[in-house]
Amino acid sequence: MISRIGVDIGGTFTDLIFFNEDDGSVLVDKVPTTPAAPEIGCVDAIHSAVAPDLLRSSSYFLHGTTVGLNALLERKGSVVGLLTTSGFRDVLEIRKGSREEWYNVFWIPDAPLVPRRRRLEVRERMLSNGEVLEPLIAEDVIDAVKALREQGVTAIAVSFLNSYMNPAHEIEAEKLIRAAGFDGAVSLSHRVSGEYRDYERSSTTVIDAYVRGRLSNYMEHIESRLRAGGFDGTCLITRSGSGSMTFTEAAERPFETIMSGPVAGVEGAAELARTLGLGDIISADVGGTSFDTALIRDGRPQLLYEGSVLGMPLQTPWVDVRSIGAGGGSIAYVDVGGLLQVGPQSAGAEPGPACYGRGGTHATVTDAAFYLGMLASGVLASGIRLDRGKSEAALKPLADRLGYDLTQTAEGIITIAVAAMANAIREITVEQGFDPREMKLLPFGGAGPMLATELARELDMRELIIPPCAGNFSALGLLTSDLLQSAALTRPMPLNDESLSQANDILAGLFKDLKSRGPAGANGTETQLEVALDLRYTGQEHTINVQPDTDDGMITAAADDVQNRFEAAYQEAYGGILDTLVEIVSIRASVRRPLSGSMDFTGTESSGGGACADSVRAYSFIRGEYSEFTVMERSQLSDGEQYEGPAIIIEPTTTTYVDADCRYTVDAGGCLRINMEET
Amino acid sequence: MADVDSITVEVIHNYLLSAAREMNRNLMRTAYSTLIYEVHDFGLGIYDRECRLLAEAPGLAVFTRSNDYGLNKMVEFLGYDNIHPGDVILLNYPYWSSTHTLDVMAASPIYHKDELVGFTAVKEHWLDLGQKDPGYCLDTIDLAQEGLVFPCSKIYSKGVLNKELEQLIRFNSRMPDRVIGDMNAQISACRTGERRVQELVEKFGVETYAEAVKKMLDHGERLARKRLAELPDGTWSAEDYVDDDGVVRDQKMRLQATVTIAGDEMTIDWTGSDDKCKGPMNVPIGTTEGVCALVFKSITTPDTPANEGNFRPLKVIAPEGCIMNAQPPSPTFTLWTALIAPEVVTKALAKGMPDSIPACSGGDIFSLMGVGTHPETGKLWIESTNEGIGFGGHSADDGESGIMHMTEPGCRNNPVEVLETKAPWLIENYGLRADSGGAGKHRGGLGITRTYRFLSDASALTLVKKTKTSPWGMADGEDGQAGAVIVRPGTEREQVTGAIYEEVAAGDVIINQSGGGGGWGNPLDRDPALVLDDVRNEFVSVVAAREKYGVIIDPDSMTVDNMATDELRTSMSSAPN
Repeated sequence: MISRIGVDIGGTFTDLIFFNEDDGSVLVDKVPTTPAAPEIGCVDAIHSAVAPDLLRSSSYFLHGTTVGLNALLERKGSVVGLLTTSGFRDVLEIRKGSREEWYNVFWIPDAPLVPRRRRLEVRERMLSNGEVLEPLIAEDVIDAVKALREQGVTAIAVSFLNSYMNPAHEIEAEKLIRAAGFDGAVSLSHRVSGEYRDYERSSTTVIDAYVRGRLSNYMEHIESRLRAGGFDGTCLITRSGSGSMTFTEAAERPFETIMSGPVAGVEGAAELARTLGLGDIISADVGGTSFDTALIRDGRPQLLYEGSVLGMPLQTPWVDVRSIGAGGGSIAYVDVGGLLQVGPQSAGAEPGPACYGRGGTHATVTDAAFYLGMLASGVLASGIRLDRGKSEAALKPLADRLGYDLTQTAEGIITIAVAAMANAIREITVEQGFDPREMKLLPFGGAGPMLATELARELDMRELIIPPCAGNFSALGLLTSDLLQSAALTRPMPLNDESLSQANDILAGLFKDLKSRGPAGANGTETQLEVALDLRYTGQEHTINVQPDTDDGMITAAADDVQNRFEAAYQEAYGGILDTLVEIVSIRASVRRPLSGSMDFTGTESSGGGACADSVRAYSFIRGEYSEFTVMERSQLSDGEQYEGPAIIIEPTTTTYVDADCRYTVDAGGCLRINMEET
Repeated sequence: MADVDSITVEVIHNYLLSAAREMNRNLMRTAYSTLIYEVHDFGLGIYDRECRLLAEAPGLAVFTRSNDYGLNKMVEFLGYDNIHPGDVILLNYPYWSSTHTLDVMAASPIYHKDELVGFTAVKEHWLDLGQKDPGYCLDTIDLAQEGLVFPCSKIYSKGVLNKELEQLIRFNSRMPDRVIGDMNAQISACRTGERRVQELVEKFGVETYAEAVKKMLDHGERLARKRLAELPDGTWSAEDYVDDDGVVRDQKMRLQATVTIAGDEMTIDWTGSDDKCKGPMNVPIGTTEGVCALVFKSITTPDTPANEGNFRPLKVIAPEGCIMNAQPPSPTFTLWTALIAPEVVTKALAKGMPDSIPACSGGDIFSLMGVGTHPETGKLWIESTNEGIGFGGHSADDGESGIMHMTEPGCRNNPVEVLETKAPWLIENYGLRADSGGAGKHRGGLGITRTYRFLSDASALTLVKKTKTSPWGMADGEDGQAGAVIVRPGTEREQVTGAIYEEVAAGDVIINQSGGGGGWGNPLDRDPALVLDDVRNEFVSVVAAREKYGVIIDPDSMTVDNMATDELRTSMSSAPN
């Protein structure tokens, strides 16, 4: 594999990983995130960890970032103006009309990204079959641009009704906007998404316009400083819908990067599953504030075709990563009814868990774990020495209110946090018709390996795999990314050989459009064209995604064959099939180019770690009492040797807790494998 | 009895909520009708063997509590001895199921080995059961006109499909395929919940499960009582009106609620409301309990998931035969009384706690439905959407614009592009109604307007019963603008009305306007900067800024004339009303 650098910026820590092709070595680093300007922290981390000559010889810089997400969360994006079809400027503000807090009559949604005074209407109308009912009135566009400029607009989004069927008016509007002298960003809804649903497409388009400036500046900063440092390779960023895109393309399609951060880890998990032939796995990424989980089947994460941020929908491929507010920093409390609750409030990096000794006074999951001995002596890689007295002091008030001792309280905090995580996993497995008991759990992130055996027990899972560099695995995942571009178009039609031929015409257009987005940036590797169809039974709304047989991006399968695949998938998901006609709803095209050379995970096992005692007293959940746990450094474990739990395994950026009913070993791929006994 | 620690209780509680969510997703994925997958016109829950609600999942808030009543009636009618593993039971006898006949409840018992441990129940709107008119009925005069009735009929008996019943449904419905499809989705959701609870009981054992459930419900009760005890004691009464009963069109119907809070108990008494009506606006007692429970929940424990314990401190009284306690064979099809009722309760409560209750919302769900034969496919089509309304201003803030009525918080509007693909109509505009929010220190939210042009002959129905009284303002705030349905505007046959069911021809236009929320506090106390902001966003017109708020705004420069505003406000506040 060619030398490459991966940097994943999380809410608490920035993780760096560098793969050196000369000697196959891997270097990891973890530095605090600089929330005000993460691009500075990112480049500083690279310069301090990677020597200049290595930077010069690197071919790829791969990046996972929450910068787009944060622009939305913090409302620090461009001043956007929105042009809509006359009569429809409020689609964005009316949303779906539903209330997230069901019984709270005071609940209000976040204000729309574009206030009403910057949503201007222009006369034009397409029908749902793509015919022009009313032509675009140029004067309206010109007037609107003038009015928006007076309001200080720096980006314009255009979302016309039924433009997914006929984009002519949006294209014309863009020309008029440019002719009127507007040189800021312009986002057209049909370029963002070829799918129907006016609110969802408008929301995506507005988000695109809103984050574009921020993301462009961010990427420019990183790229120029890397270039100044001698880096001559390609800069890539993870997409919400898996795979990576070049910085150049991301600047054109910024809405595709919103979930860049959490997806990187899932990508790594998928690659690991493919290389090591792990079968179906569930990733469990536990950081300071959140728990992110995804299902990986046949080596690929599950894809959704709509995502959402703060209740705002995004009509774009979206790796199905479920996130809940449960992590090492989650705060435990007793509610007014007297029940113990954990999260979603987090102590974050500052002040952090009480035991960090940085002023935190609330009991967190980490405090509970440390109190129970799950973190052994509690010396972290960053040099923090955890303070047992502070954990106790934080747990005490909860214990008093519950009438429990400290151990029961701490055990309860872990159990409740784990139960919430297990429910998130049930939603992506059981709910979709998949049985987690037949899958393997892949825990990573700073707190994942600590909670892993309890989480597996809750779900009746038997096999756990702690990947190499588990604490930095999200960054490692970046190094394995493929380049990917995708596009889709909604065209409801009955499924038959004739419509498949129409679908091929549409695919030809979609692939042409993808090529026009410019070269994806990888040289010398084979390009794969991928095709998928969203199909449904006529009358139902929700679709099932089916991959028909194709040749060079064209469907070769007959309608009967596509129908059979649809029915097989339907049967698996819903336990039965219907005697109803099947129809095509949307047609999806992707271009995938693997980066040259696939990732080899051997040689990436972690080494080092703090000095530690040979054993420690820690709480065993299976025994319900304290026991002696062996303390091992991960790097000291011998390949292939079987060890018996209970044990605590230390590595630089995370700690693995192995309960008494588990055996563990390190395999040839550098993975720590844990097997739980049948109960 | 097993001693169950509070951590196990929390784990079981979360598991049940996850199971209910799973039922919800399963239903939405497999349903045929847009009413279910877009509009979320359903309610579902998981119950213990005593039919006590343990966990629910969003849809229509009025449904879930009504399922509680329906389940109890089902057990009473069939008897525990006649309920077996694998049964799925249909109930839509409105006086038991507690909504109208088209809202059919499917319930399945949950067995752990041979022992009944609970029920799942899913209520959803069926598109047609051969009721008097396709789509919806606005003027039935007895139950017999309201379609096929299932008095606890088993569609599955011991796991075997009852083909005769399925055929009976098929042959009694105008849209058999979609109805059977939706029914299957409903059954599948029941089975999903059943399986998940079985796994849970398997894991913890029946005793632990039962004890945990008991503790969970007791906890729900404690939360509600604690909050009730913090609210002022007293008795307050209020009234409001429903437009008409659908048969006698020129007579409003009066609702009166008397609310008493005494310590940690609340009573809602409907004595004083009108007697039963001729048309289908009578409300079964289970529905009345449901809407009362909804208000009760929103003021006591809005931030926690609902369970039966939450509602123990609530007592509901409605004299038999009054409009809020329908007896057979009174027609109940339209049920809209139940949608107006919650805000009669809040109106009473507002008298005792003006700082904790918002002014009235737009007050209704403003549903419009089209029914016709598609010119291209020749098939019957039914499409509909509900509209959001303005919410009332309150002591802390303005009311929100364009969100769904409190009885249907999980409900979602139907996208314009989807509506236009599925039915032969053109949506000409869709947006917020300027000046519809009641003026106040905290303004009421805005209602919505949507204009439909029918492209082929069809029937149009609007389900709107609050147009004759305005959404009330509070604490010197002004009323919001009431909603209205305008049929064929600008023509000789224009009518401004509420509920309609009538034939429309290709080219006919209907405008559906939802109500704005009432304002809270004196409009003259509203910060002129906020009034200016509203004017810039065209939520409030320049004229209304002057006449309602006493704020003079120059429309060209978009600035407030502070001196003129002070003067005007002084004169307005000294002028007699």
